[in-house]
Amino acid sequence: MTGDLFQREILTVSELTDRLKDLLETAFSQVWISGEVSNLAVPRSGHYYLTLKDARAQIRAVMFRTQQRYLAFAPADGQEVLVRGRLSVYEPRGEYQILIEYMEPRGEGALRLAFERLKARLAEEGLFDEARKKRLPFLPGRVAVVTSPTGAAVRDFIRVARERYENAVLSIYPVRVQGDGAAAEIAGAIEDLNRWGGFDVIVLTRGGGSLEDLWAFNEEVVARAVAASTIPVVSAVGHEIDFSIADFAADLRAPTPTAAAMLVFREKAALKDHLAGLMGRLGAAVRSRTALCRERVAHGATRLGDPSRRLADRRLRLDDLSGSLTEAVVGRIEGRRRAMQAAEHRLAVASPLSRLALSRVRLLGARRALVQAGRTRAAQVRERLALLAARLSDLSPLAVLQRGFAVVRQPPEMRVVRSSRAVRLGERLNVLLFEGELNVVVDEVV
Amino acid sequence: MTKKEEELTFEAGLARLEELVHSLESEDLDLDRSLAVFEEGVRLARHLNRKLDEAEKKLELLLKDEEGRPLSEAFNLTAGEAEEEED
Repeated sequence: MTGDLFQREILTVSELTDRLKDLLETAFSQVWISGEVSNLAVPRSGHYYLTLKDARAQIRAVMFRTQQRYLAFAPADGQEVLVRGRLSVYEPRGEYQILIEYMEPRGEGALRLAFERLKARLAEEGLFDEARKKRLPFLPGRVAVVTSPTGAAVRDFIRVARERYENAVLSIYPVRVQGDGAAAEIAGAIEDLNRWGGFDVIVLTRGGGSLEDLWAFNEEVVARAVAASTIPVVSAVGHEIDFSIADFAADLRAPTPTAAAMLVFREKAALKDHLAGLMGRLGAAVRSRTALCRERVAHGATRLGDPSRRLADRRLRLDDLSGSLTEAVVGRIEGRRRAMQAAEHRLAVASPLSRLALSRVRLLGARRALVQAGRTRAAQVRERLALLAARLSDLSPLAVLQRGFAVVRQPPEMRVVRSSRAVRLGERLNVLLFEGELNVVVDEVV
Repeated sequence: MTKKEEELTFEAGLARLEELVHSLESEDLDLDRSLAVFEEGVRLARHLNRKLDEAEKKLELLLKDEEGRPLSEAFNLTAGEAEEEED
């Protein structure tokens, strides 16, 4: 095989570059690199061009705009980052570079990964199960706060707790909340409080900070202590957006220390108001009920009636009845008396003596009537006579002629003419007047 | 009854009181019964009010002795003491 050493293999630049490309791109198709960002340039295309470097070496890198969607931060020169990407050889220039697919600030990435792994593991173990969660007492007696005694979190918590419930009993268990040993202290505090007893709620709290600052609350030992606590644990670590492993393990998660105080303590004033309202309703209800009962009693009493009044009623009625009785007796006697008087009167009228007197009176009357009738009759006859005489004179033709009428007659019989048709033109007629007669000739028949 | 009230948690007591008020307002109880309900309600409300006030305002710092037993001392929270360790 020694001959091979001398056997020359001649490659063109392209051929070598092809081979390198093949080799490098296959061997480094997926790499994680940590380094510092430098020479960051963002041309109009929006792609990031940068150099990753460390103390001894550097490598060019590109992050295309399409990959930047998943970027959670804006990279800057001097920043330590962790990138995932693949090596790419750019043949025209004979250069190689990293095509970045994912990039995150250094430190955070590793922690984030550890966080997700621990979270997944504990979740699988059932440490975060809803069924394990304990209910917070409605009115906690003694509340233990595991936190830094000098931080803003403890001050916020105490202030809000006092505002809502002025006589709150708060026990501060001081612990370091970041740095080495903090997690062990926090876990130890939870265990101590459980062992000592007498606490109704444990509040685990800390103000906001970087993922690294908050890390103690993401350690397994804390999660296990929280899960093992027989006292309900409220976790309020960091700001609203920060979730810690302790949050998942706790019985209740509050977004901030202030919110934790509000979840633990109900507003005393509101509770007092509610109680006062219930007392008022209780009083009103029982008053209306007793008033109703009183009314019923009064109504019943009325219906029962006053016995003395009843007696008076009876007396009146008795009086009334005896009165009627007397009246009836007296009335009956009176009636008899009146009947007797009437009978006496009738008897007197019917006696023959009175009848004789009556006959005399009638006789006298008749005689007087007879005379009167005679006189009257004579007068009547006279009057009728005069009337007839008057009518007779009215009917006399002479009387008619005296009023201006004439009687036309046809000679020689002297028949009375009653119609113009009964005469002829030139005929001679006789006209009888009241005084004298006329002989006339008919001149014209109309 | 009094014994039972003492054992009742605040929440349960409050629920019972609400129930009493409701029954007195809506049910047709006879006078004896409604007076008994009223009496129980008033006693319960007083008890709950007392419970709201009974805790003595207290702020303590929990410490441990060498054997891990709890010690406590008054916790003085002054503005000067508060270093911004956490923000």
